[in-house]
Amino acid sequence: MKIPALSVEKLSFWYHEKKVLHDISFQINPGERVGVVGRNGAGKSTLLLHLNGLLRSTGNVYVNGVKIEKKSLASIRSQVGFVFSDTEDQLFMPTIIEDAAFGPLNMGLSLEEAYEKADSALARMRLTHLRNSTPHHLSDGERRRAAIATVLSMNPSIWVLDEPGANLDCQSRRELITLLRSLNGTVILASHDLDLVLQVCDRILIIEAGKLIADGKVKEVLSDENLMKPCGLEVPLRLQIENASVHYEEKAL
Amino acid sequence: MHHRRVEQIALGRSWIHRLDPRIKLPAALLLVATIATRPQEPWFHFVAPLTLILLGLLLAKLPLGFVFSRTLMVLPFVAMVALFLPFSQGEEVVHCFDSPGICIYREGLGAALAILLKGILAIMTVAWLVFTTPFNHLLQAMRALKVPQVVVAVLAFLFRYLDIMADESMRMRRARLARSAGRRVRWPARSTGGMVGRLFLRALDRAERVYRAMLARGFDGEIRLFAKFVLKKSDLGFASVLLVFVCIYGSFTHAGRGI
Repeated sequence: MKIPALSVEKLSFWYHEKKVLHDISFQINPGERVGVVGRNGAGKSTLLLHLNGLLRSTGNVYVNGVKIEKKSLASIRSQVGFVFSDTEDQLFMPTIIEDAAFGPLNMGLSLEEAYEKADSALARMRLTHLRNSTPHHLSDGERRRAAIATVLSMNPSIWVLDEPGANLDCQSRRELITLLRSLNGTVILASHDLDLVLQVCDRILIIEAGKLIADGKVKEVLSDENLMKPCGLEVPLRLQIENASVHYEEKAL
Repeated sequence: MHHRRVEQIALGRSWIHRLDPRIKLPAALLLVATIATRPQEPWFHFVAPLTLILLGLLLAKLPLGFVFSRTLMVLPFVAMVALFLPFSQGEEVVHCFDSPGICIYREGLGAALAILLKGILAIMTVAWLVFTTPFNHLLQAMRALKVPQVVVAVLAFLFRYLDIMADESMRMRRARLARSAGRRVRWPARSTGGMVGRLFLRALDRAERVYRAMLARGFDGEIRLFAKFVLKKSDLGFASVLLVFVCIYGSFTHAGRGI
């Protein structure tokens, strides 16, 4: 039997007496690309923070069959790469190269190996020319690529990305979509950009008020207006046009 | 923007820039300590370290105008210390003002001049160090020289997040201005207090998020900085020249009271 990359069982989380997540359960298979969507404050980021043990509460989370607990945290965090929504939080070291090497060094690699991995991650993100720059002097698009490079250097099998498309211009967003599609491994991303989710993911989870409302194929779920509207979501324009043209063709026939 | 210019200058290619920061950092500290512990008089002995520092700035091919303008910005803080000395120290009166009933003393004037000179020289030495060494190299040198990790980490985060906090405060000021309808803001102290508080809370929130981001990448309490320095002949030559200077200068001037 194939071991799921991620398995979440009856996950609940309270924040100051308020229940933010309600008995959430789902499984994600290796190589799947899953989008997590929902309105502001629905609990998307809180859910993601549980996936590499940054938050822990009642219920269990398994990564590649290993339960997240104190003794497994170090190995789990080298398998689950987390890209935060605010790149200024993700890039905390004085220079980009030091940031990209932060993870590999914590994984116990030697200075040379960590350096090598950091450099190759920066090269893949086309940031070699900025390796000694301070993150503050980069554009939003460059910072997003640098944030991804800091995780890429750890070569995780599971990627968790919180709002990867935030604050990006059209070209940077297009580059990001291509990049996300090229990532190896399992990808879980939370986003308000449903068009990005549609292009990157093949499965989608809708979270509403801390509950898992829908779990299905991305196109089917995103096309279902009756499901989307009560969750404060809108059918992406691309799908609206597609549905309208199908409807028009059916009518014409 | 000045921050960025300083960084660009620090990435220069002169041989002074290429010196090992593990030598440059203690060298600068040694020079500052030597200058600070020299006697106040005769003041002209300060010409010797001034010449050395100017030589260092010239050899590093630094834009002198910019370096001096940066140095001048710190001067008011030194001047504040020196300001009251002529009125409070010494016995030999130079001049007395009748109406407020205060006198200027010769010894006090000398002490004020010495503090000013020592302050300027110390700032110029630090400026030489900062303008010829990228900040991350300084941090790595500190770690290599066994400066406690927590001190280096605090400096690293300060360097990384100072610009962001400055940007945040600028945005808040702009938002206040945008809603002040061209008038002077009423109760500026009240709104400024609120802004400072807000900035503090934001910084606190950010600290928590940054810590989370560090944990997510396996942070275990130790920040491992790259330190790939190799001592060269030029480093040893530089260190020897400085040591000889300090010995000769020290032997010609008797140790006096420090600042």
